[in-house]
Amino acid sequence: MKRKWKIIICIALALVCLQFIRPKETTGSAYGVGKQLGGVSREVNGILQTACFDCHSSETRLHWYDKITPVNFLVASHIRNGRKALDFSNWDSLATAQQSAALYYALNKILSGEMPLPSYTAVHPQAKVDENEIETLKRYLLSISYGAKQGKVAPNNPKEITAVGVKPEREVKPSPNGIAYIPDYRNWKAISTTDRFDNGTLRIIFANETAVKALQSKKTDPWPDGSIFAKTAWKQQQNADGSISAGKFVQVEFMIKDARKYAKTKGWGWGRWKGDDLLPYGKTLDFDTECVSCHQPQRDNDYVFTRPIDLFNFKN
Amino acid sequence: MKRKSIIGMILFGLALALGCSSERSDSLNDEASVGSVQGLPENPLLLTALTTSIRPDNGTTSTLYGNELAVRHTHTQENSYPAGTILYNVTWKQKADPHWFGARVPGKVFSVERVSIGLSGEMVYELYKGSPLRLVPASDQIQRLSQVLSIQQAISP
Ligand code: HEC
Ligand code: HEC
Repeated sequence: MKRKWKIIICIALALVCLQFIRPKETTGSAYGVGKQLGGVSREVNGILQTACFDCHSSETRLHWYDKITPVNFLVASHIRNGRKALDFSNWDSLATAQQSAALYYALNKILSGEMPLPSYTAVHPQAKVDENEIETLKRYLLSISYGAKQGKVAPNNPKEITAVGVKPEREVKPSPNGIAYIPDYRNWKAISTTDRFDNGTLRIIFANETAVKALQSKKTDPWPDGSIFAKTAWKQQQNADGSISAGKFVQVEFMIKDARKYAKTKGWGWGRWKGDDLLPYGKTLDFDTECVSCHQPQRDNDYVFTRPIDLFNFKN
Repeated sequence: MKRKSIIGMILFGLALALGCSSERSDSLNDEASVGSVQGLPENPLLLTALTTSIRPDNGTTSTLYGNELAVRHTHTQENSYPAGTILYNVTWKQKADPHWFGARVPGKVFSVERVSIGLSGEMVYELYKGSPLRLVPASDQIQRLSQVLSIQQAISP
């Protein structure tokens, strides 16, 4: 009997002592004053603040139970990783286009059910984003989308256009993860196009021969090794008659399937080249985790967003 | 009798369940395919895509396709496509991208325009419309012909 009490008291003491060891992320003042994101409506700001700021800003409002060691270490790791991925505290240092991209990304992570982290909403139900709030976010994003404030695009009227089928010889540096540029994608088949009103671009998604064969035989789940997609983005360019065509080249991105070679990045090799100089995108070897994070909700579709047009559904 | 109908119902239910689960329903954009078009000489979507455009006023998106001759051609403003050129301007109604809030993708095909340049330089414009698509007369043939021919290819370095 005595022995049992000793053990219980020891454990209790240890727990109390442990409370002095706290990760710095959870020691801040409780309930900081709400920060208003510049240029964002009050309503939208409120939604993000309740649902996201705990992990995505330096303004963490924790409940007492979040601060108990060892719970707080789990919370702190969420906050650390969350801030690394997206930090609303840096809002003011972002350009308008980046702010808009961040908000679109945020909404899409809510729509896919990934955010706020389900493990978090289980304990903090008030952080759940309901249908009404989603509608509010959608309405707000449409109001700031490219289409809503047209007429700013500079006309681009090149005198001479190099034919699509003719590729000038040039040196293009590989992507930081070692993936080499693929110059002849413009001769591949187009499997879809997108009008990205979130960032004012038009895109064509091309597929190489292996991928097109898989499409023809409807064996795309998963896409076979050797399949490659190229997605080219151009600035939307407004014409006199109100139509919008593909203007200045922005970038081309590739996804190269090799389940074994690229096992670390979900079976795809990722690369992006930007601008007329085709500068490889990414600073670090693992820059492609950014690609994988955003493509993650498509894991049941082999990480591919595009639903190809069925090119072979044709009869004459 | 009764037992038979119950077994029948069970089988029917089973068939429904299997039928629905055996296919990944949303792996293709089937709605946007061309389907059957009587008399269209080639499958436009298997030619090379030269550029894409949208028309916000009627919510459509078009992609211009060309055959080998059109593709290899350096298309300057002064210069025109060579004899033997075949161009297709395929237009779809746009629909919201179900997987990304912020994008629109092709929905149903709205029209297919075919422009060909014969060996002696004669130009032919054809318009296919409706569901299923079929050749229809176009009142503004000449205007559309020159418009399709003047679409600039999207440039990439
Ligand atoms: C409990 C903490 C938590 C909450 C609350 C939370 N997130 Fe996250 N979020 C994370 C973590 C951790 C990551 C890092 C990636 C991962 O581990 O999934 C992340 C990543 C992200 C990313 C970037 C994905 C990447 O890795 O590049 C976006 C965008 C995002 N969250 C949006 C939101 C939005 C919008 C909300 C509010 C509706 C929200 N998050 C609420 C923890 C959280
Ligand atoms: C913020 C989200 C986001 C990030 C980050 C992202 N993508 Fe994507 N990606 C998309 C969306 C959405 C599509 C669907 C096509 C479209 O709407 O433009 C797509 C499509 C693609 C496609 C065409 C095949 C497909 O999946 O549909 C390729 C190739 C591609 N991305 C490559 C990349 C590469 C390489 C990177 C990293 C350098 C990257 N992506 C990062 C959102 C993203």
